[in-house]
Amino acid sequence: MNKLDRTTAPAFHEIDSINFVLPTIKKLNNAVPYIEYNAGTEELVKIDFVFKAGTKYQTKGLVASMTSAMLKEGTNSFSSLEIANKIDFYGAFLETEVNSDYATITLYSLNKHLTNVLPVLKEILTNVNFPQEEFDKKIKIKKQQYLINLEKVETIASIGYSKHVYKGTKYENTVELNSFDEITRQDCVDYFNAFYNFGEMAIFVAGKVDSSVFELINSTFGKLETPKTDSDFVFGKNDFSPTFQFIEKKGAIQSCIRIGKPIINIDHPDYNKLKVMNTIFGGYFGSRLMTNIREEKGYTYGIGSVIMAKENMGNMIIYTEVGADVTQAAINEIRKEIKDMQTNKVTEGELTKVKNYMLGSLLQNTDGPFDLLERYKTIYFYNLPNNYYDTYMTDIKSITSEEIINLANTYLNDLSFIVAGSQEVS
Amino acid sequence: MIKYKKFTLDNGLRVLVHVDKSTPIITINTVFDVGAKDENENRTGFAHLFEHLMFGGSVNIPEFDSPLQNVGGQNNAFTSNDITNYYITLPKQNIETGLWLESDRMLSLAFTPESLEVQRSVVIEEFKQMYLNQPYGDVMLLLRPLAYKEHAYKWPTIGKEISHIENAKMQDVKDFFHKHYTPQNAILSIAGDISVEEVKELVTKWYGDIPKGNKYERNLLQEPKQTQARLLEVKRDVPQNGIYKAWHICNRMHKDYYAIDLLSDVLGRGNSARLYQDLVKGKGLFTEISAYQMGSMENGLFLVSGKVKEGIDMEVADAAILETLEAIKNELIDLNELTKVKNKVEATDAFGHINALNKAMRIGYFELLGDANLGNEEPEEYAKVTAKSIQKVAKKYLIKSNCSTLYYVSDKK
Repeated sequence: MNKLDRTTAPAFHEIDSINFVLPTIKKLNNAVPYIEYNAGTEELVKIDFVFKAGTKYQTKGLVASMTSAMLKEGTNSFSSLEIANKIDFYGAFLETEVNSDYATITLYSLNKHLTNVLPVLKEILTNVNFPQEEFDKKIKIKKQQYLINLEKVETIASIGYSKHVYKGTKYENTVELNSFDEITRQDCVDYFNAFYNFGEMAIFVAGKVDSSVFELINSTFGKLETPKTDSDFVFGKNDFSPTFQFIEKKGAIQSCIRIGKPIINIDHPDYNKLKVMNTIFGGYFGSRLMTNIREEKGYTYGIGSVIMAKENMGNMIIYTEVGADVTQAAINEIRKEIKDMQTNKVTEGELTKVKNYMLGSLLQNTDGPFDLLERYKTIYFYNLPNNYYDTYMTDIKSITSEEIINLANTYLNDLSFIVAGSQEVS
Repeated sequence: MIKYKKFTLDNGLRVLVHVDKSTPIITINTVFDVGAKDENENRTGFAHLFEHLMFGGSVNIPEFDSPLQNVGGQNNAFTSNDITNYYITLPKQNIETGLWLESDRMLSLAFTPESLEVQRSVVIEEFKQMYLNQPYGDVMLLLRPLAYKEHAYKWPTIGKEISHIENAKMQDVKDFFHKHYTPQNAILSIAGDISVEEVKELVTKWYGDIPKGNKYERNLLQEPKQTQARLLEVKRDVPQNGIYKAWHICNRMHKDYYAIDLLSDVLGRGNSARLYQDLVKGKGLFTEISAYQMGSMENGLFLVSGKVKEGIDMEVADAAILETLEAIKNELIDLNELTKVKNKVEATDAFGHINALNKAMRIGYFELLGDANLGNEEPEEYAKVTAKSIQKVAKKYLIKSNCSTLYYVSDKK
């Protein structure tokens, strides 16, 4: 037997194409869009109801998230406990979530129980009544959680970051301690009536889905009225100017660092390539930031940077928590890495590695019905062409080291630094 | 149901293959039969520190991550009190790169001093970030040694204290590797669109020549039976009081396990669970409360943890928890409630089978427990549980003398 050569990597096989399967798109009888991925091996389904009811539409702090959190807390026919019992009895999971742009209600269920749990969801969406008693309990709990979170440097820095970077816009963080006292039950009722409209939502379905699932959803929701939102929503003008902000948290043994700024959004021609630049810089385990600040210096358990798209504006964030005593050193190293991205060309070896890593990630992130659905939502909500992921692949494959250095010079400047911790830094 | 085929190499490495033709991704999962429980009491946190060192280069390959990223792969690992688990996912055409990397670090690590120094700092920062710089982050650092006086479960995976990590020596690292990281102490499970024959050929090629090493014989101190309730009160700079209660229970393989698991669901799972309905909704004494059992391989703990509402006396809140537990002991749960928790287990099981990584991990874990097929038999075991058996385990385990309680008192400055 030949001695095995363990020093040379086995032959590499490139990922030349990823077949991004498109979903089946239908409409319910009342014209509500229905988007479906039928794939997978297990007899189960995930259904998302996505409404244009994110925090950016609220005119008072906390209202969007309270409205979302109250959906399971009582309807004209069912108490909070009855809703929980009905969902839990069938082994289903019902989750409500809200981000800056959208409010989502997600139902996970085994196919065989879907006929029993969908009516509960319909009851919620047509007859939710925000019981005062449940509202009072929930707001107390939320206030406690808020106070606990305020003990974390991570929360302190995130709030500071969001207030600063989104300044002037509807993405600005508006939750304050007094929000918990000012919000009323009626605010939630009004918010629900104004923004949870079947005329402006979409239903997403993924799992092992046969035609009966569409029939069931259509017969449950297809006759509902579909009003449009009557809103004078104005996003606002972003009033960002770079700054360095230190927020003191006495006694913290680690500091939380957030560095970033508003940046181009997903519909911009540079966006995909900027993602490649960001991946090299701080977007994966082998990134410059991780290699230097965690793997060489040991200042942190983790560091990264991310380009984030939202409906109205994008932004870039570098995030980490580092030992209090090395906070200044970490900031200096981050600055050094930015400079390096702007000055020195990335080697072909590193660029190839990142390209392969990103293509591999896309392959992994389009594996199975749930992943496919999440990727397709990007296309749907940002009105991107159906071949978006083909373009994404082409952009990744074609980018050069010259383009990377140009992108770093165009975008990695005028950054704001927000640091929460016990020791002042600059 | 996860179908699999098993074979064993001459050096003792057990290999499981799960064929899933629906995915373009291959999962390579490796579980080693070593966890924090196998540590020396004066060198705790070592199994986890060691997990970090497994990424610091192996005998023939200077870097672990880079070659994997080069072929579109990803990886991660975790350590618990019982096991250390490593996994790689990568495009199926590049499976051999994964096996090359994973087998070389089973053969031997590079043991570079730089890697030890850096990972020591990283783990210390992890200790701070997850346990010390978080409100309530040190709960398990307090509760474990309250509940366990002898058994190695008395320290958490991260370790007892930072100094143990600071004092780790290279010789300790080498000894740990030779003691635990042998083919005999490992199970490799591979899931994806690949045939058993192909796996056999590749695994034999890359793992066949790794020396067998010595079989590690575990010999842990057993925990003496607790005979008196224990109470510890600490003051911390947090906004809200917390109560944490722990009862000793059986291990994962014991016949009571499934009834205990369903008992924890009756009490603590979902918004319809009893503790939430009684104490958050009904009496309004807590703002959050949960119950779970640890599912450990050795005799574990059943935990109830809650955050007490402002202005409520700790003893009152504590007594209310016990009252909810007493109700289960005094009256059989009805068929509806029993069916509910069983349905939930069935659904969770199905959702856990969605991706190949979960499936590979699951069969590896059960093989470590004794037989990969045990996981497939679980639905039957859950089906057998009755209202009576749930009441029985509540009466047997959830008793005062078997309980350790931690009052985590707000001392807001």
